[in-house]
Amino acid sequence: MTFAFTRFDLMSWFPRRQTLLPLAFIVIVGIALPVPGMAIATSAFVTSLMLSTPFLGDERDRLDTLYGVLPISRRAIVVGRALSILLYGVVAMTIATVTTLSVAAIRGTTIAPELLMTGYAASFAIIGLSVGVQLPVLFRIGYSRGRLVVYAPVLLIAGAAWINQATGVIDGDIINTIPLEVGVGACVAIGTLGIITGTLLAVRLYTTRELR
Amino acid sequence: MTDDMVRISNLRITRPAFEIGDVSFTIPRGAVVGLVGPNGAGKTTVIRSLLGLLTPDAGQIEVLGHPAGSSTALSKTGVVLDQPTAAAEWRVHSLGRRLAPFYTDWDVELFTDLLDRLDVPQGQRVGELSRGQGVKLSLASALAQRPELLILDEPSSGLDPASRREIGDVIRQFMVDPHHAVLFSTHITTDLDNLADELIVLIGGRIAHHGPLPDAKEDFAMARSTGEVPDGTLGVQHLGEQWSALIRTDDSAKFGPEVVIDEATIDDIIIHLAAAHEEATA
Repeated sequence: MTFAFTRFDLMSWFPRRQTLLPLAFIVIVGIALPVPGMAIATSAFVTSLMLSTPFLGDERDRLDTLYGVLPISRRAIVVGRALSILLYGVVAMTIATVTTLSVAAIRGTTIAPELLMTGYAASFAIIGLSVGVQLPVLFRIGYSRGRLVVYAPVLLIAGAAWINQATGVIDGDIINTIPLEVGVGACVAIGTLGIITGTLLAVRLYTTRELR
Repeated sequence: MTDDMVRISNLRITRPAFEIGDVSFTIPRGAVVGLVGPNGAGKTTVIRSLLGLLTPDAGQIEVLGHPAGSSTALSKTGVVLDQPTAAAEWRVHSLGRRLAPFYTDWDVELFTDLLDRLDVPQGQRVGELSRGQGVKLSLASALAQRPELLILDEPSSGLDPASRREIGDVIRQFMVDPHHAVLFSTHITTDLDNLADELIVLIGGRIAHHGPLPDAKEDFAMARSTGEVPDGTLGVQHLGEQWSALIRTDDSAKFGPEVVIDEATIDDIIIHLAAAHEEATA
């Protein structure tokens, strides 16, 4: 039933202009900004910001009530929704990769596989953090009351970067000395932890939510 | 297979805006139960508890032998709420394709037939449907699940008489199978005539009356007169010098010839029981 819900969910919110336009934005960023890996990073932030979109539809079209009377568990709904968001992230990252490689080929430059690998890992960490922060809040209190939390992961990351720059706690040179495998592993661990924790917490909170 | 498709025992729900107190009833297999009451009586809250959308503070609810809101119970329960639960931009015909994967017994043919029969344009978007068409769409999708229990929450309010009759006819057809049952919450009590077997009157979150529908009309009568209101009246209302009140039919003999006694309609019963409740809680 989880996959049935993922299919239902994607059919509900994916084929909408407001969902598809941000994917076009990734392509524009990939073409307009000549920084390698920028499109991949953008795909992560777009996925993070789009995470609340299905919750807007739930509230506007009373789909929350529909989910409540469907013969599926609330756990299946949460896991199904998490999967549909991750699938959106995969599509966004695929578009970003194709754009990055195409632009590089046209410009006659090469993209180092390490750069791609780092980009994917960092993006996965950003998406995982977003799922970890946003999913429980949106499942518990819905879009209207929880929409500001959409910006929390982006602000969290930007804030951490700003504090680091201001205080110099972690030197840029030190970051460059971290082996690729360690950096990628840490990002994958952060992403995985965010997705698992966020989904489990969302299941717990959504199970006791009263649907109107 | 139990005889009672729904069992509610000592249901209590307290929220800032409303309170349901000690509600208990059953819905037997083969019965159409009408749930009536004034606005804010708690009809929708009881229905939402039955569906597992609300968690009661106390009491037990079993639907088809399973806890309320469980997947097993919901797989055999068709639900028609006061508004369609579908996105405005979905096409009518696509709703079947979207919902079918969740129901093992989904009947594509029945869904299409019902839409045709109820004149719901299949190519139209849900947001473009009239209120009546929206309710009919909900009814078609609820019945296409091949449910045993059908729950309708005020489906007929705001509908024209022809649409209400069509909905009544579809429910009657559903009830041809003696293993089915219906819980029908409504404001328009005439919808229950020739349809409901039992009547539950909910007033102020409590059951004010529960019994066979014909008995309700036999148990109560309307008394009207002028002057002093005698004892044994319920929910007295004054219009100028005249008063009217609900009385127990068994008490008719207690009233003198100056009191005119008429048959009570379901509306009379609700209005005067609600007034009696207000008097009691004032």
